Amino acid sequence: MTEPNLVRTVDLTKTFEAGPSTVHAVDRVTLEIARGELVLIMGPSGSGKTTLLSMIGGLLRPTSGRVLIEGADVTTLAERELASLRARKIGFVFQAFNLLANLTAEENVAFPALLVGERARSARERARLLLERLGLGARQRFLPRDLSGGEKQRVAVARALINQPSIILADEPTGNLDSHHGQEVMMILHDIVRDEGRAVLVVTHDPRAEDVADRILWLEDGALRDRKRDDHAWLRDPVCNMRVDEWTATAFAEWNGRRWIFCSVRCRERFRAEPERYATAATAKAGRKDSESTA
Amino acid sequence: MILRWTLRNVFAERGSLLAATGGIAVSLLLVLVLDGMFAGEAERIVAFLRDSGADVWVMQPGVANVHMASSLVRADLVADVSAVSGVAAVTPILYVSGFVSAGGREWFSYIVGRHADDELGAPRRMAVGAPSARPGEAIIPDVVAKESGIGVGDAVSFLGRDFRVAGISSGTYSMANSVTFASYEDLADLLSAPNGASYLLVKAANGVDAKTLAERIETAVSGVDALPAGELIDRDRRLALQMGVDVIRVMTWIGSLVAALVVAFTVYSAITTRTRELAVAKSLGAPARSLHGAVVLHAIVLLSLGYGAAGAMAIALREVVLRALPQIALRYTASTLSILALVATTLALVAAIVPARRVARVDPALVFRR
Repeated sequence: MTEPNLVRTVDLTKTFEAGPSTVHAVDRVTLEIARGELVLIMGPSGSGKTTLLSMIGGLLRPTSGRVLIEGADVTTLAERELASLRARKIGFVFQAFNLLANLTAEENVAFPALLVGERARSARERARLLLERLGLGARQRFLPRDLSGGEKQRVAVARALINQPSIILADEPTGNLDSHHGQEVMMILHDIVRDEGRAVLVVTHDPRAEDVADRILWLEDGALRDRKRDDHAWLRDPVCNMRVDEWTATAFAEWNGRRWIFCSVRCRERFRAEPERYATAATAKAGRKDSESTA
Repeated sequence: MILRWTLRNVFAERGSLLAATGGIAVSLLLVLVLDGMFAGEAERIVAFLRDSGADVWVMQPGVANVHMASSLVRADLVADVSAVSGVAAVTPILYVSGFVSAGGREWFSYIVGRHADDELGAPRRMAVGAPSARPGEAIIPDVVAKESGIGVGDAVSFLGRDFRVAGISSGTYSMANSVTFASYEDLADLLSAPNGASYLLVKAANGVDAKTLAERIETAVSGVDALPAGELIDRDRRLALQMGVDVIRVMTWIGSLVAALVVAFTVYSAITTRTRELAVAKSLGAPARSLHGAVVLHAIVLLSLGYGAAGAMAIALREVVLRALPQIALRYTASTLSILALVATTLALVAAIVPARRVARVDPALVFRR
C-alpha cells in the first residue's frame, strides 16, 4: 500500500548545547505532509524553522525522533544513502538561490541529474525543457551572475525538479525577491503541487505565500502548532485602519461580544475611549468592502 | 560534471588563480633555487677532481682529501707507479691552497702546478687562451677574470710572485674555492720542493677497475696511499659541504618550510572559499566521495600549475644567473624535482583535508545562510 503521507516526522527533536544550558531548537515536532499538499511553516526568527527543514532534508541528524520520507526512516540512513535520498527524493530551493556560480543555468539544472548517474545529453535535454517550461528558454547558457533574482530562483526551482523528487523543501524562496517575482515563484510551487502531485514544504516569513498554501503551521520556540488559514486573515485596526496580523498582534480589546485587534496600545486606548464610534466605522467599512467584492 | 564544475571553479576567477598559482610557484621556486645552489656548488667544488681525468689519486700516507689538505710524495715515485700493472699514465701535480690577487681583489684558490705537456690535471674547458701554463704564466677561472676585470696578458700574483695570465678556464670556480693553474717548475720553486709532488694522478688502462688499481698501487709502491677518484671526490665533497655549504643547506630547509606553509595555506584558502558551493552540492545529493574528489582535484590542479610555473621560472632564472652571476651555479637535479613534487602534493592534499572534512560534515546553516 502506498504511504499516504510523503513526509512524516515523529517527535522530532534537535537540541544544541550552549554552554551550560541546552537549547531545544526543535522540540518533539510531529507533522505529516501528504502528496499534493503545499504546507507553509511560519514563525518568528530563531523559532527552529530552518533546523526543522534541515532535518527533514537529511542535512542534519536529529537528537531524537524520526523523519520518514515515503515511509523510509531517514534518521537511520548512512551518509551515502542520505546523499542518494537527497538527490532522488528531495528538491531544495534556497533563499540565496545557491546556484553554482561557474555553471550555466542549464548545467545548474542538470547537475543533480548527473549526480544520480543520468547521461549528460539526456540530463541537459531535460534541463533545457524545464527551463523552457519556467520561461527561461532564452537564459539557458547564462551564468547565474547574469540572471535576475527571479530568474535565479526559477533556475533553482528547475534544479529542484530535475530528478522529479517527491518533496520540495523551500527555505524562504521569496525572501530575496520583489513582490512580483516572489508571487511568481510561489505560483510555480503551487502549480508543481497541483499538477504533479508533489509535496512542497515552505519555510517563510512572507505572508503573501499564504495565498497559495494548503496548510500553515506555526513554529515557535521549537514547537509546532497547526493553524487554520481562515483564522489568519489580515485584520484591520479599527482606529487607524492598518492591517494587523492577528497572530503577531500584541494589543487586544473585548467590546460588544467581539475581540478587536490593534496595531499598538495607543490605538487600543483610543478605541477604549470611544469604542462605539470606532466599532461602527470599522463595521461599516468592512460592509462596504464586502459588497464591493460581491459586486 | 564534478570534474567540469571543479575546473570551471579553478579557472573562472583569474585573479584568484594567478594569486594561488603564483604563491605556490614562488615558494617552490625558492626551494628549487636554494637546493639548486646547493647542488651546483657541490658539483663545482669537486669539478677539478672530476675533470682531471685521473682514475686513481696517489698521495702521502694518511691524507685522504685534496680540499684543505696537504700532501707530499717523492716525484720519482712516478716511475714506480707507472710500473704497476693496469696503469696507463701517471701525472704528478703540485698543489697548495692560497690567495690569488687579481684586479685589486683576493680570491681563495687551489693553486695547481703541472707540466705543460702532461695528459692529466688540465682544465677541462678553456674560455680563452692556452690550456697549460708555462713558467711565469697562470691560468685563472673565468669568474675570477670577469669579477676582477682582467684578461689574457694581465698580471695576477700568488705566493708572493707575479704571473701573466695565459689562459682563462671555465668550470674551475666555486664559492668555496677556485682553481688556478701554474707551471710545475714555478710551484716547485715556490714550495721549495724540486723533487716532490703533492699528488700523482693515475690513468687506468682500459678495463681496469679504479678500486682494484688503487689497491695494486698501495701494495706495489711503499710510502703512498691511493684512492679511486670517485671515493676522493665523495670525501672532498662531503668535507667542503660540511665546511661551507651547510649555510645553503640550512637556507634550503628554511625555504622548504616556508614553501610548505605557503603551499598548504594557498590550497587551504582556495578550497575554503568554495566550502559553501561544496555544501550546496552536498545538499543536492553529491556523495562525499565526489566532494572529496572535487577538493583533491582542485588542490592538484593548483599545485600542478604552480609546479609548472616554478619549473619554467627556475629554468629562466638559471639562464639569467649564468649570465649575470657566474659565481653562482644552479643545478636542478631529478631527485630534487621528484621529491619536491611528492612533498608539495602531499602538503596540498593534507591542506585540502580540513575543508574536505568540513564539507563532509556540512553545517546546514551554510547552505541555508542568507
